[in-house]
Amino acid sequence: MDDKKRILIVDDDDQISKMYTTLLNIKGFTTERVNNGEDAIAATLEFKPDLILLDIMMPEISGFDVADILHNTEKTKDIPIIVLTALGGKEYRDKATAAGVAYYFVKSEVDLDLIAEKIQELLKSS
Amino acid sequence: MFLSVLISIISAGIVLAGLMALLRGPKRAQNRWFFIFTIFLAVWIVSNFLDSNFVNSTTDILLKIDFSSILFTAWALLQFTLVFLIRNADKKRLIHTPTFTITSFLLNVMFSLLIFLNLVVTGDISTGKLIVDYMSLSWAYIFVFLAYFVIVFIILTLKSRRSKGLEKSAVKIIYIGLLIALLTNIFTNLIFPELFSVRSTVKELNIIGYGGLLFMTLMIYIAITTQKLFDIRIVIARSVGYVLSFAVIVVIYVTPTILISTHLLNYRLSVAKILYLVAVTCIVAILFQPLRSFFNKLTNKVFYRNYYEIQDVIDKLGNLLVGSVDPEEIKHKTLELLTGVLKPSYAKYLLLVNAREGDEQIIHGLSMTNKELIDTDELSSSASRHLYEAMVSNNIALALRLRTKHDVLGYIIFGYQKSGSSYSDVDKRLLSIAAAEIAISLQNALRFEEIQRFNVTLQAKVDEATKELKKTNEKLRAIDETKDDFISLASHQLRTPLSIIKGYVNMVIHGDAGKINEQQKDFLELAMLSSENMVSLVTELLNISRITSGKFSLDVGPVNLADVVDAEVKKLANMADSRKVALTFHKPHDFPTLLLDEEKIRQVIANFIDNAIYYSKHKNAKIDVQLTSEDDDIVFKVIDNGIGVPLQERDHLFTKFYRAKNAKFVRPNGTGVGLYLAKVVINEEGGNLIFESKEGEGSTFGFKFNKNKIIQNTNKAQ
Repeated sequence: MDDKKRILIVDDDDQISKMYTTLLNIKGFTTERVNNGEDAIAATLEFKPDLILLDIMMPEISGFDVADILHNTEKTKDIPIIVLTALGGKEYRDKATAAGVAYYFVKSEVDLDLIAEKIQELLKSS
Repeated sequence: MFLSVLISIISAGIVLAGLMALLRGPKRAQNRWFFIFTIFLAVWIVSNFLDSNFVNSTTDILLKIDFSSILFTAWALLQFTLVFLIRNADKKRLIHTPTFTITSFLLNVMFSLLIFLNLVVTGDISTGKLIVDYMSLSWAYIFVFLAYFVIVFIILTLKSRRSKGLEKSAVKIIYIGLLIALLTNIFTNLIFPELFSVRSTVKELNIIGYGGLLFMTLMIYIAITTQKLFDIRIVIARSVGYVLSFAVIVVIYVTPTILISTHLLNYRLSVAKILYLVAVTCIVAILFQPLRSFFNKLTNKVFYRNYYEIQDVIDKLGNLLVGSVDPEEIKHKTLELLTGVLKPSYAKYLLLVNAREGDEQIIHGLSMTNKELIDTDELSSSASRHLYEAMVSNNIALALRLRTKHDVLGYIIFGYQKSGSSYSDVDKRLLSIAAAEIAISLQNALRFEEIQRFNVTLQAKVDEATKELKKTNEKLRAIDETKDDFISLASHQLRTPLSIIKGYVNMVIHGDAGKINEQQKDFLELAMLSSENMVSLVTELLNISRITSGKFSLDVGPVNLADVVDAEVKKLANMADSRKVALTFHKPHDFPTLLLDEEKIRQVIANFIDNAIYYSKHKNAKIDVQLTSEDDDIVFKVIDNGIGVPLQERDHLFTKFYRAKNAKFVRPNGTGVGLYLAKVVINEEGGNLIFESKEGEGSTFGFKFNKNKIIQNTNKAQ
């Protein structure tokens, strides 16, 4: 195994996922991507990422549910999750916090630099 | 002898009046007092008559009874007057208390005792004639006696002034009666004897006095038993007429009787006997009328079973019509009444409103005759041959037209009478009178029914319209929601590609795709800016749509404004640089955390700074961004020395899509929504807008919040 940190990208939008993959790879991370919640959980257990980039609006299982499940599973509860979503709003933030999410970003409000920064931050401390 | 009879009749009449009044209204105080009054009056009349007539040892006692009873009579009259005329409860209590009644009664008793003790009057019969001597206390007696009368008169006078209508009539009647009685009695009992100082010869004259009293009693009786207003003049007229008719009868009977007995039978009739004849004739004359009515009713019952009084029927009809607004009920009840009275084999209504095919023809035929009441037996002219046949075949004997001023409603048709006889003139007269009343009532009832139906229809229509309206509203609401969703979706969908653009461009700028030269970097940065503008615009549009649809809500959380302002300033630093605008901001230390909607306030801040940059002048452009914490407030200001805002544009500046003229010149592509949004957001967050400007010199845009928006702990959102 190489010493690069692994990041799991969970997003049903292909273009967004591709962009993040490109960015994170350039930054030196190994990335894996799934496009729905079910696979996310399976991938987490298999890929064992150091950080998960999670989208909320997905078909069938929403990102919240994923976060919740991961947070309550012994094996995965320590993996930091950054939620990246188009949904703004306090209720969502609270929900995310309740599900143990580390950071909550609204896509349109944040730029990649900030995201990358946060990721560095989180992974440094882990 | 004759006189005695007369006296008896008068006294009896008086007591009878009292008794009848009592029987008619035993519960009413006035009737009871009236009765008491009549009793005492009768006693007095008898004793008064007797004490002058029988001159022997009993006369003394009679005299005493005479004087006592007149006192009680006056007293009873006063009681009666008080009860009858003083209706005002309070006043009554003032005078007519039981206390007063009892006191005055005892007063009378006392005087009676005095009278019997020979302290008021005594009679002297030594000479065979009664001579009345007035004693020591007679003045007191006379005073009390007169007092009663005076009070009665005062009350009567006062009451007659104040009362109206029925009461006034009653008062007048009593007044007249009292006056006549008093005058006649004073004259015959006091004045005359004084003038002639011999009592016995004037005993006949006393009759006048007693007659006056009878008259008064009758007047009072009438006054208290009449419930209706009536004219005293009618009473006098009728009474005079009555008396005159008696007189005529008497004369017609008595004169021939006297003549016959004197000349044919040689039997001389004494005056007394003549008077007896007169009296008997009078009694017969009086009795004739009641007897006749009685026997009329009896024979009607026996011989003329169908007898009815038209007036009774009309009255009943009137009552029935007034009590109902339902056409069916009216029809049913009127038929019931008329059938009961006229006893036809059948009766029914033929109305135009709900006429059947055949009925319409009949109605038409009947109305052609233009007669109010059509009797089949009387249809003679050949022109009505068809009608006649129609009526016969339908068994119609009588058709009564129901007609109001403008319309013919229809007819009531009657079959022949069950008894087989034809309808009498009385029957026809009844029907004619009834027709008008029935027609009007029926028309009203039908109209009322129509209005009711109309109301119901109206109500139904209103309900339906309301339902439609509700449905439409729901649809509109659904559309509205869809629209919102659409806008949200559209904005959301617009943002995704934008963030991708930003993402990749950013990567290239950062050199993640290889080294780039200065120019490439510049170009890409400009592209970045544009895409960021686009994102802002989309957000703004989204906010506007939310505001207009009322879905604008704040998502408050702890916000460190210092950080936010700093970030925005940094973001816009490049742009300011490229425009050669000096952008300065001193980030304050330990700036308190506020409860705000971060996203929105960030936009406002960015908007203000952005505007300042854009609307700066070319030379020495400076923008100072200030964030301070003053005594009670947090203040944020963006101070520029740009083109400023002209005076006349001030009021419109913060309205939707408004662009000042000078701004349009400098930045043609501005949307005009930034300041509007800023204002809405600031107000929603509970702050105040800061705006100052001088055209050509610069502007200050900002906001301030009251410190109560501060939260003490400085936890960041996790």
